[in-house]
Amino acid sequence: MKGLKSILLLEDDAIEVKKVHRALKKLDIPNNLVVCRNGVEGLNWLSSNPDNLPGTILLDLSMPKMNGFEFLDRIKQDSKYRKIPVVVLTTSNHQEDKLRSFDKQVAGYMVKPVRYSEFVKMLKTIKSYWNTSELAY
Amino acid sequence: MIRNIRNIFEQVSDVVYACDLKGTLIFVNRYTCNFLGVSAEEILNKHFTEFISDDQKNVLKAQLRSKSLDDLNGFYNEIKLKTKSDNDLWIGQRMHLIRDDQGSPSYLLMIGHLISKLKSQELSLRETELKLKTIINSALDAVVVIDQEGQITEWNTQAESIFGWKKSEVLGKRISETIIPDQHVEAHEKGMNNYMKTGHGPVLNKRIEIIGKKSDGSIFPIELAIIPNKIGGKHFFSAFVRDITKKNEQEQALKESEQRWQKLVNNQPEAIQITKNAVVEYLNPAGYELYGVSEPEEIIGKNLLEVTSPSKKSKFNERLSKLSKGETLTPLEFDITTLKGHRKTIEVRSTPIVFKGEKMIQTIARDITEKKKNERRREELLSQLKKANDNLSEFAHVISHDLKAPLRAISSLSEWLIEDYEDKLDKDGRQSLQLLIQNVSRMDQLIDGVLSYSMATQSQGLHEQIQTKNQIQSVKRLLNIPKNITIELKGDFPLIVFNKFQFRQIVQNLLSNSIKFIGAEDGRIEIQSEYLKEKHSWLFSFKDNGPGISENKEEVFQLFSSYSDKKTDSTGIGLSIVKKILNDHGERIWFENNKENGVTFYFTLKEHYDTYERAEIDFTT
Repeated sequence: MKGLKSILLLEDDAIEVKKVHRALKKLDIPNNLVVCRNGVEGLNWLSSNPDNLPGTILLDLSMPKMNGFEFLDRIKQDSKYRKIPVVVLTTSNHQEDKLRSFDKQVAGYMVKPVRYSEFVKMLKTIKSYWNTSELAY
Repeated sequence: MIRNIRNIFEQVSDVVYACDLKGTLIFVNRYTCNFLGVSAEEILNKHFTEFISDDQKNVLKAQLRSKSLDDLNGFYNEIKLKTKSDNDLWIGQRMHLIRDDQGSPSYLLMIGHLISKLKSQELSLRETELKLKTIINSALDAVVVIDQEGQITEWNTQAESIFGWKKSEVLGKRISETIIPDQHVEAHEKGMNNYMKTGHGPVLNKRIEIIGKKSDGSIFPIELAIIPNKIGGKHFFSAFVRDITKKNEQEQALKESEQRWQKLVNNQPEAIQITKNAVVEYLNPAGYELYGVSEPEEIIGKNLLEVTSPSKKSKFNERLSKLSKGETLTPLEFDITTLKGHRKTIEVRSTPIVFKGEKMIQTIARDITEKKKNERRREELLSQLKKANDNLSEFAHVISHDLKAPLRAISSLSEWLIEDYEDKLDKDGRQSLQLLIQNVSRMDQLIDGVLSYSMATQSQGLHEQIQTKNQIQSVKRLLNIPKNITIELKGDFPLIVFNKFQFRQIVQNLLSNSIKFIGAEDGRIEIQSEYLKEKHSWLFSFKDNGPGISENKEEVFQLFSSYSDKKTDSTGIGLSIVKKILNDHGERIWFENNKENGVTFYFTLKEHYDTYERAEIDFTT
């Protein structure tokens, strides 16, 4: 797996984490998945792995300690992390949350579907995105 | 000339002089020298015409030339002499031809007397009379002069115009039969008689207001001054009369205007005070009420700056000086403590005015204590409402996240069970898990529905002008419309002012509803709008050819009404949301089953929704 950038997942819900794991496996995505349970953990991981920055960040918006928006603010202010594409993965279908996320320059906004099968399809779309974007990083 | 006669001539106070037949002066008496201002030596042997006024010289020469010497004897003429100091003096003189012993003409002797005074008196008298007449006629007042018998002797132009009598008509007539109204005739006669007897008259020598009578008999108010005079033992009375009809009308109007002002000010619910250099000159009853005044002396004459708190004093002084410069001021709000000790908030507007002929300041004060209290209460309520709305919004967030997370988990876990244990599960087991997943999906939709309902009237934007046709077409494009269904917009659609998101939601929910239930092979939905002139509203209709509605009318709009309907994928929330949005705007939605098949939904929208309630009196309607 060396040479492939990792995927950083910020998610506090264990089942959601498991879901991403299963889906990645199902879609034969070989990238390493790093899981952090909130924004603080995410920032810590980023700062301790400067040579191994992720190719994509999957970000849940509602998390304890530091939520998704705060995390976005922090990394978009930091030139080291600014260019890592962030895809929001959330349960919120709220217009306001969507606009706020795009204001913070996210690469994508995905509302978590209820059905696992739908989620797999969705992730497939994201996969195609980071495969092509890998060249840039 | 005989010496003693000569001496006699020297003594007389008449002009006596003599000249030879050529006109050379041979004698001038002392009197003549005196008034000419010359000595005898200066004029003797000079030609007599040298002392004749220049303008008379030729006249005199012509007179003399036309007469023979004999004619000159006894000839009287008037000539104008020129004195040394250039005054002209008229004299009347008679010439006498003196003959010598042989009877030949020897010299002319002139004896004359000064007539200058008389001459100028005569002239000036005529002039004065004329002047007087002109003055009297050009006087603004009517001038009427009567003699002691009460007969009119003078009547000027103004009198003609005021009373309507021509001078020629009234001269010699009694004023009691011309200009004195009947009710005053007796008093007039008595007054005249009394004055003639006693020399006293209470109405004389002052201005009085009384009534007069015109030639047509009409009565009108006059201002009158009667001045008694006596010349040559005869009394006469000059009356100066002014028509004061207009003045009275003006005075009356002024009085009425003053009364109106008083009434207005007295009945004003707002306090009106008039101050001069901050000292209260006047305060209306509402002002007494506002300041808690019981007795006038508590406030009248009080300097308001003296009871002003030091912090505000400079502000007030600044306003006073601005007012005195004629600047307009914005209303000012401040707190006062009334004489009864109550604390009030008032709003004042001040303007400079002239009161009792002096420059003063009029201030209108309004008690806004209650208004302020209400404003504060309103602000509080608004902030509470905002908090409540924020809470609701947060609540919705929590629900969407916290309620949905377990649902997603159940759904995912069920799918994984099917995936992971496909070999071990029998048909029943798989079916149960599928049903579980379906129900979870339904639960998810219900939660979404409840959320949309609660958020439906939370404004996601202000009212704006929207082209309804464009919005309906845009919603139509976004909907996933099955191929068997056509949606048609018929006729004109209005431009209205409404919340865009809410309008789109109404359209979307109604269309989705029809699409869901339509079922027919050839589904048709027709959307129309029509202007209802009387209600100033637009009526929108959504007509479909679906199965129609058999339920009780109102139930359709209730939350979850179609929940039990397993045939469709409906939560039954759509119509409830439409109803809620419309009801919140004071509008309603209803439906009617069509004659053939299907149902038509109707709702109305006004052209414009104000953010405030309609006024009690609306001049625009």
